[in-house]
Amino acid sequence: MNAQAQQAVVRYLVDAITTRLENVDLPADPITEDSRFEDLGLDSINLVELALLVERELHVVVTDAQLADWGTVGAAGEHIAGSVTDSSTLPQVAHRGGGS
Amino acid sequence: MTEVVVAGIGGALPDNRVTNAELAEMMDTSDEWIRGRTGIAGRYWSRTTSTGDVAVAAGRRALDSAQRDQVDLVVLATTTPDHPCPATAPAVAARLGLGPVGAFDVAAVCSGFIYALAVAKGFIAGGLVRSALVIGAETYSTILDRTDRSTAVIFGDGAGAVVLCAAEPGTPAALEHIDLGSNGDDRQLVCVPGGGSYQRTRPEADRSTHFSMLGREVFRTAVTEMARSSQTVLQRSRWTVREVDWIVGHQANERILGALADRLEADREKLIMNLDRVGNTSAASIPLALLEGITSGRLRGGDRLLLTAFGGGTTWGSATLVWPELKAEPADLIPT
Repeated sequence: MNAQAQQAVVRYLVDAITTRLENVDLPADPITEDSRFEDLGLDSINLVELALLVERELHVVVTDAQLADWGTVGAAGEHIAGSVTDSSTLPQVAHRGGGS
Repeated sequence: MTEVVVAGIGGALPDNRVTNAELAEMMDTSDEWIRGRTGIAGRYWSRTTSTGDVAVAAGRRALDSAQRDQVDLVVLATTTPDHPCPATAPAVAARLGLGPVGAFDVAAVCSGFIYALAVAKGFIAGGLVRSALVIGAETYSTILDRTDRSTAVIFGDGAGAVVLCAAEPGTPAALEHIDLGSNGDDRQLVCVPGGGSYQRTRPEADRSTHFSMLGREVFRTAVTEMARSSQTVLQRSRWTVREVDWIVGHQANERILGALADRLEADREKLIMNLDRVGNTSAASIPLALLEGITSGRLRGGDRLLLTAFGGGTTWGSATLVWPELKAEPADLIPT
């Protein structure tokens, strides 16, 4: 379940970075859980916007500084998944993140 | 209870437009960098006009819009008063020929207009006065560090003003509810460190009289508190977000306003914005954006409005109102 939750959050983060953040200069390679935030062409505000999306939609309070400290999309997914208290957000997340 | 209505609106800008390209010649920035992070393409910076000067011009336009030459009270919100002492409002009242009316300043930085609106509404609803001129006026160009691209590109000068009047209970186009808040523990997020009694009583204190801001922290806190405050006034008015026609947020940053709309689950098309042309004019931003809404033909009598702002202090505030039928001229471009 924890691995599933982490995967769902990672898919959510990848979807958010690629389709919902503004002013992103995305790299050519696909974003994976090993991708580092600092290599994703994000500007100084994007991590704040990403943290606000996580807070609103996954109901987990994170800061841009925490995302930067965690470093990779996968590590952020692990930390955020570990803090999800409302598991009903995750199936929805998995569906959204699947891009279907 | 006595209702409070908006009876007139006006604005003024110093006639010196500074483009992003011009700023790129002064500091390490570019048009693309500024537009991408803020949505701002230009702003107006004073040369020879002070906060009082733009306030007088905006106040005159608002009085003309209201077809009045007298009010009972002047409340002026500003971060950049003409002098540390006295307040700017009495001089503005005198220059407008308003006689010996009550006049004072309100300091709540970028939330100043909402705070001033609340003060004036309280004076009218409490029966102390029957009308008030509420002005937000700023000349941030006088406190900016023009080598700091994180703040210098954002702020502009200008003033906006509304005339508020008492009206009979049940008047439809009324200022409905206002919510105010603050968190002084976050006072370091937006500040001018020096120039006040704190610096003068502490030899080790920062003496800088330039404006400083922790941008990312402000972004996050602004979205969070404006959304929370907006939901508070919407609940008091028993309006849903869907029933709001326009959201007029403090024109801090296009991306802050976008994130605010998302958090409120509101259509971004409901945001009235003018910061692309005038930048962040702090306490003047909401009345200038309202004026833009009217002169662009979007804002009409009977529309339901949500106003919301966040500023240094930190402070925040929101208001709900039904917009009246009003005629107004575009912002006065005054020589500078």
